[in-house]
Parts: sequence; structure tokens; C-alpha cells
Amino acid sequence: MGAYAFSRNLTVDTLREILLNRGVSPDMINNIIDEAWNNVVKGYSGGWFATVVVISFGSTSIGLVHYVYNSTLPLRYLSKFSKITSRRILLELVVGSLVALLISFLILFTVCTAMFSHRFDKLILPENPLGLALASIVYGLLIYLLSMTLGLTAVVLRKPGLITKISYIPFTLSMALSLLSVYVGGEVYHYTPFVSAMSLLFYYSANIKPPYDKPLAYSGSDFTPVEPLHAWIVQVLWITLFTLTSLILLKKQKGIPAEEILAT
Amino acid sequence: MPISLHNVYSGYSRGSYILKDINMEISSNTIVLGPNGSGKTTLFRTIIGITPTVKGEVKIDDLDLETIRGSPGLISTNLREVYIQYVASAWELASLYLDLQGGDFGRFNDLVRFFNIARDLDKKPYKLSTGTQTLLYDLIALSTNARYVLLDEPFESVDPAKRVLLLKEIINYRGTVLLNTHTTWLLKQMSEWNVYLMVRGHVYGVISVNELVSSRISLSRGLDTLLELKLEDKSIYLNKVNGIPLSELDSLDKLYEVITWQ
Repeated sequence: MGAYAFSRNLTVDTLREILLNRGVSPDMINNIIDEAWNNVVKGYSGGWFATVVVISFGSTSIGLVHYVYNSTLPLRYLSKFSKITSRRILLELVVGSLVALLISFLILFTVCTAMFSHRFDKLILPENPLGLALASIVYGLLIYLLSMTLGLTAVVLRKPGLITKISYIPFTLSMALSLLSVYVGGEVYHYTPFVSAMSLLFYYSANIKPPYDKPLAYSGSDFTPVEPLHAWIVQVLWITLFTLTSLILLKKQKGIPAEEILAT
Repeated sequence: MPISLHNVYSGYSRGSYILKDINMEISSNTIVLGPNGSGKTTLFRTIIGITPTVKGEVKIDDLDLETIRGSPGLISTNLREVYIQYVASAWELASLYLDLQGGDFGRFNDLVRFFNIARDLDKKPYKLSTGTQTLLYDLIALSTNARYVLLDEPFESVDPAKRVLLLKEIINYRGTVLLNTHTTWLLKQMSEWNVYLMVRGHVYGVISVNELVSSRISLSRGLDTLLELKLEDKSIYLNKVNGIPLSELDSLDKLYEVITWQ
């Protein structure tokens, strides 16, 4: 939809018209049109890709929350009566979840690259593939830790009936906040884990710093850009918070009887 | 003592305990017999540590349950809540757990073919019929070569023909089996086992299967009383001579009916 339906009016001619309306002379337009169009294509494709990844990982979290919740009893049993330690089990859960998210990322990357490249008639690849990969892995880890926090919260609250509603929180928030950031804008969104991830994914895709105080879809140049370091700090702080919360909840969940976890 | 529980209270929920003041010593094959809802499953969950003990202590081979870590081959169970469901197939689940617990996959394979459920195990565990699921977890537990095997209602929904075969496998298991059930048909085959009776979160016993099979249930205490079982507002007594023969009950679920109609 992003590649074809929403970009119907996005053409070189439209760009020329916009530049003319902003008072840029026709000669200047001729000089800069190729570079300007290149930036528009990169920015548009990068914005869509970043949004889709953020929302997709949020939807994967639905299953992860259930997975964490349903793993608490096997974890208690296996840590006592098998050769595997609870640390190893948790590590395997993290690695397994990251692998699943990575596969999701690769599929999205392939589809987006193919569709946007076809739409704009040129091969569109990320400007910084390593940065993009790292940002995706870190966001994937954040999503896992958020899922773990939510799954364990349902255990500790002794509310198995809430698990489905709780599992939709990351998906709902990722969708709402990312779209608000794209179309409405605002500084506060950049302090959320979803929009800070989106900023990094956008930056490493397009090599353009997204706006801090304007919507991502803003076409002007008068905005304060998001510094990548700022977005990284936000991501790390959220990861730290969810890690600490998960560790506390892991300890607390040991006191919850199996009957409370299994009740429907 | 191999498995011991002293003054154990567990399964605390909404102001009450499911298990109250449990005292048990299990050193040989033992049956825990009780009607549905008596706390038998919670007892097993407490022994394996997935339901925490609020008061008292549980020890296995003189080790406090709280301190046990990384001990494959000590205990196995057929409780399905300890099995991870996110696997590709039941075969994969069995392979994973037997590997982690130092079990014998070859033995599991032999048992599966003996019980003729090999083809079913290509499915995911939760897609199996109830009886096949029960059999799957029973066979995994019996293939771990664990010192103690805890079997919770191992015959539930299992095909009657397979029940008898399963009972033979359980009786011939080399380690110590702790089995809970509400049915009484199997008692005659397990004459050398010990029995605890469980009613409303309390445990009574231990007596031998022979004593139990020949005992009678009555509302009156007598000189021949073996055990007193406390139920709500009355007590029932297990006597040697006076009362209804226990062997006339197919299942201890009928215990309440018998007492009510007396």
C-alpha cells in the first residue's frame, strides 16, 4: 500500500511543483531535482520500512507474551530436574525470539526493497546496512524484554484471564505511536521505545535525520532533527528498565502457585 | 527418607490453602487415592516445586526442595503443565525432555510402538486426543529412568485395553512410583504398594493396599477403625469389619454419594 496506493501523487513533476511554489527558481530546480528526488524516494521508502518493522515486531510480541507466560511452569520444573539451568532456558528464549524477529525483519526487508524499487524504478537499498541491522536487533531485544515483562506481570498479578489483553499492548502502542509520529508529530513520542526505534531505522535506511518536532511525513526543511545518539540512549534506557523489571518479576513469580497460573 | 513432607501447607489462594498440614513419608511405591478435587494434583505440584510451599518443608533424598537445582534423573512426572507446548511435534517434545532429563529415548520409542501411538506423535502435543496426550506424558515420565516418578491420574481417558498394559509398565518400573488416582479398579494388582487417602486437602495414612482393599467404610468409629477421614461436617471411618466394602466403590468419587445416602 505504501509503495503504490499512498504514493500515487509522489512524482518528479509533483516535486517540481512543490519547489516552484516555495520560490525556488526553475534553473535551480533543474540543478537539484535529481538529488532532491533521490532524497524524497529514500525518505519515503525508509519511513514506510521503519514504520512497518516497528508495527510488525509489535505484533510478534502478542505471541511472545503468551510464550513467556506459558513457559513459567516448565521453567520451574526443568531448572530443578533437568541438566539445563534457568539462565540457560532464559537465554534460549531470548535467542529463539530474536531469531524469529530476524526472520520477520528479513522478509519485510526483501518485500519492501522489491516493492519500493519497482515503484520508483530504481534499486533502493539502505544507506547503512550495518546500522540498520544493529538497530533492528536492539529493537527486537527491547520487544522481547517488554513481552517478558508483560507475561510475568500477568503471572504475578494472578490474572490469567488478562493475558490476552495484556499481550496486545505492544502491538497497539507500536501502531498508535508510530502513526502518530508519522502524521501528527511531537517531541514526546521520541521518548517512547517504538518511535526511537523508528527514528533509528529511518536514519540508517535513508541517511536522513527524522524531524524531532514535526511529523515524519513533513516535507519542509525547517525542523529540529533527531540525533541518532539521542534515539540510542532512549532505546538503551528502556532496555535497562525492562531488564530490571523482568528480573524482579522473575523472582516474584516463583511464589505464585501453579493453580493460579493455570486457572481460566 | 526419599520423599518427605512435614507440616506442609501449599496452594494458597483467596484466603485458604489447598493442602493443609500434610505429613507423608514415601520410600516405596505408593498410591494416593482420593476423590476429584481432594488436592492430589496440588500435592504433586508441591513435591516438584511448581506450587510453592507456604509452610513446612518438602525433602527429596534428604535435600530441601528449595535447594535442588540441575538434578536430572531425580524426579519425573506426567503433569502436562511442565511440558513446553511450543514444539513442532510430540516426538520433538519427548526427545527434548528425555535429553534434558537424561532419559532413554530408545525405551520411549519401544513403548510408543508397543502402545501403537507412533503415527499420532507426528502432531503437536495439544492436537492429540486427551487419551493419547495422557499416554504421551506417562510414557515420557516412564522413560526418564528417574528415581521417583510422579504419575497424576495416568489412566485418565486412556483406552481401557491400554490401561491394563500401562498398569503393567508402571508396576514393573525400576524406580519408586508415586501415583494418584480416584479409581479403585487397579488396587488388586498393586497389593505390595502403600496407600495414602486424600480428602479435602488432608492426607490420611499410610496403610497397605491389602488392608485398604479389605476395609469397609462407615459413619461409626469402632474398635476396628484403621483411619478417620474428616469430611465437611462429619467423619467417615475406614474399618476392618463394619461398614460398606470399599471394593464395592468403582471410584472414590462415589464416597460422597455413599455417605450422603447412609
